[in-house]
Amino acid sequence: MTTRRGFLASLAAAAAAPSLTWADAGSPEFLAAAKEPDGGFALFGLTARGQVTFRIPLPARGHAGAGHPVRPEAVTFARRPGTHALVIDCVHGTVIQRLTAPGGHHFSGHGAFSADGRTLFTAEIDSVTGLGGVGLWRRSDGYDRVGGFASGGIGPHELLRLPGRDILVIANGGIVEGGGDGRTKLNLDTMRPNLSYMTADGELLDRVDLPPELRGNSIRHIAAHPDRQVAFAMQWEHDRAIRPPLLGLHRPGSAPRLCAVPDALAPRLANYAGSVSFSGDGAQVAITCPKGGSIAIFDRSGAFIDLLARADVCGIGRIGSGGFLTTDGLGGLMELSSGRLRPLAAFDRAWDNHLIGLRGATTA
Amino acid sequence: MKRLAIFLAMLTAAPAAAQVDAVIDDHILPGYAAFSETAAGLRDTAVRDCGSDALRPAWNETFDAWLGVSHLTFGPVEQDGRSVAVAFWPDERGATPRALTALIGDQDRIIDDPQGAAELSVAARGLHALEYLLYDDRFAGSGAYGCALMRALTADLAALAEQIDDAWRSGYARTLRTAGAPDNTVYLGEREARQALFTALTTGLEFTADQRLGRPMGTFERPRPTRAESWRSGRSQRNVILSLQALSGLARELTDAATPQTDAAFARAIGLAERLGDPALAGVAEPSGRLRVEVVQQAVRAARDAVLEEIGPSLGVSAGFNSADGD
Repeated sequence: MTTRRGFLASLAAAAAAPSLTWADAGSPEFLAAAKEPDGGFALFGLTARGQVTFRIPLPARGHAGAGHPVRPEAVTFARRPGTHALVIDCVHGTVIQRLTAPGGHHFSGHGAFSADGRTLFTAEIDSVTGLGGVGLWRRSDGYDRVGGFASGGIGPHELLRLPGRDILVIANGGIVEGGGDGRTKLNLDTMRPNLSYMTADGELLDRVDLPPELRGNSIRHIAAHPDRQVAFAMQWEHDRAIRPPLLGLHRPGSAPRLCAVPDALAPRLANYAGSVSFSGDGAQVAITCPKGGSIAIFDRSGAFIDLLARADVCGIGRIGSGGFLTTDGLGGLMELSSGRLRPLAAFDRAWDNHLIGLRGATTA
Repeated sequence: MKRLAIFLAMLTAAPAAAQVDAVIDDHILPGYAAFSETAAGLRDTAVRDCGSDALRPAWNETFDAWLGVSHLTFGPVEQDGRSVAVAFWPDERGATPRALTALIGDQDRIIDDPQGAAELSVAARGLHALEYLLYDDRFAGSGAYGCALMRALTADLAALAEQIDDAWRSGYARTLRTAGAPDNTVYLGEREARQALFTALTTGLEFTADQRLGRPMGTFERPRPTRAESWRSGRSQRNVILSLQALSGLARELTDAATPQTDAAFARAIGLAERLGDPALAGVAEPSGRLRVEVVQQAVRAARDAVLEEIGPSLGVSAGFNSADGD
């Protein structure tokens, strides 16, 4: 077990040797964080078959993160409203750098690298007003913060780079959080979530706003198809008796398509989608609903296909064989393909919210 | 010390498989059998006499039986949206009366097909649609079509109840019992079966607190008595009591450990619910009546807290890692 002191001491360790790649970390296809049975936390490299390629202890519960496109470096963000992120050398298990959000701000828990891997983009939130920002950190300068711009909304959550280019998609969830725990929602009556497309310089290219009756639907997580169709997952914050669509599909320049599930199944989503992913073959898109213990699958036009049950499921990613990989808080790692969930492994640890794709997820 | 802790954990965790069996044998299977039996009785009554006077007692018995299992939100009841077809509530947008009005207005003959009712919108099916037909004046004089609709909906409900009961007996009980077996692709470890039952217990308590009690409470400035569950039939309070009794029964079966906090919390919540004296929860319209309902709601939430503190650790489970945390 790594002590806090030992962990901080490793801050002094040198960055990964420049020639290392993900192959040196066992060629993981995903990163995922988990809570261990002893109460500790760790970051894992996972293959699409559910094997662990590395395990690195973390000092606290993480949320999501970002993997460098080439180098075996992972950025893990503290759970919201955390002000720190760690850049981890996944070969040696050491901390390369510790990032601190600018004064008065916290990280949302998500970030993304530029296509060339030189810049890290982080979603940042003004801790008082909830106004969103995107932070730019230059890898070659030891991850110095080199700039930032407004995210185009309140409470940005996930930030994603479109495949093959430096266009950022930002889920501005619309919620101002505060209070003693920093997680009390303060503006549910007036929230206005949006999905913003921006250049790496902060120029707004396109924006999706929800119709007035759906403004209680916080846009929080995003996935991009290799052809740049974007899927966004939502969490409903208004009257629980209403069951709005929790998935949207969008292409820049057009109106979003909101994807509902049949009335008889809608309650099983519990009005809360935790993650979203396209399938490996690109033909389907799925949202995970940890509160409802279910996975809702749609085709690319947004038509509902099926709803599958799995308790506390949240992490989901696309795998090369065509389907999805899922992780859950019970420790399960499952393959979802041909409409069936098939267990790949059961671990005695609780997988945290997200699976971060390293290959194929965003083809750089 | 650590070894001792592991040993103790094993001691308390070991009988849990027996507890899963106990819940299945003494809570789940009898619960669904009772629901299936009463729903069949309701169907048979409707065949003989589709008048409200004859049907109301049978409908109430069926609703009572449903409350014995309505918290079991996993397994066959979730297949094909059956739970929603049985109990479409809350119905914020009034979809049920709208769907029934349309059916009756059109004299839609789809219900003459034995499978026809299963094709209807879920809003037009199940216990709550039947409540409108039996208790709402708008639907009192629906004539021969109303009678045919009553027969179709009660037959549909009986079929749903029988399917759920059959599916548990013929397969799902085994799936839950054999959690962690190599061929079990639903429950990957023995702990997952306990987790499923524990989650049903905690979410059942949340549903009663937040929905059955919380919806009619609305806000202090704007209470919403007509949002109470089955207020038309005046059984909103009864639903709260019966759901708490069912959840208390599940809690008892779920662990062998002594659970004094849980027992006391359930006893208090059930006692308060029984003494409410407000069958349709209409009292929420007045500040004093609303306060009384709020006291029950707090007691139900206290029962949930006790369950999390006392039963969770004894089973080696907790509220979901992701579902409880949010993103």
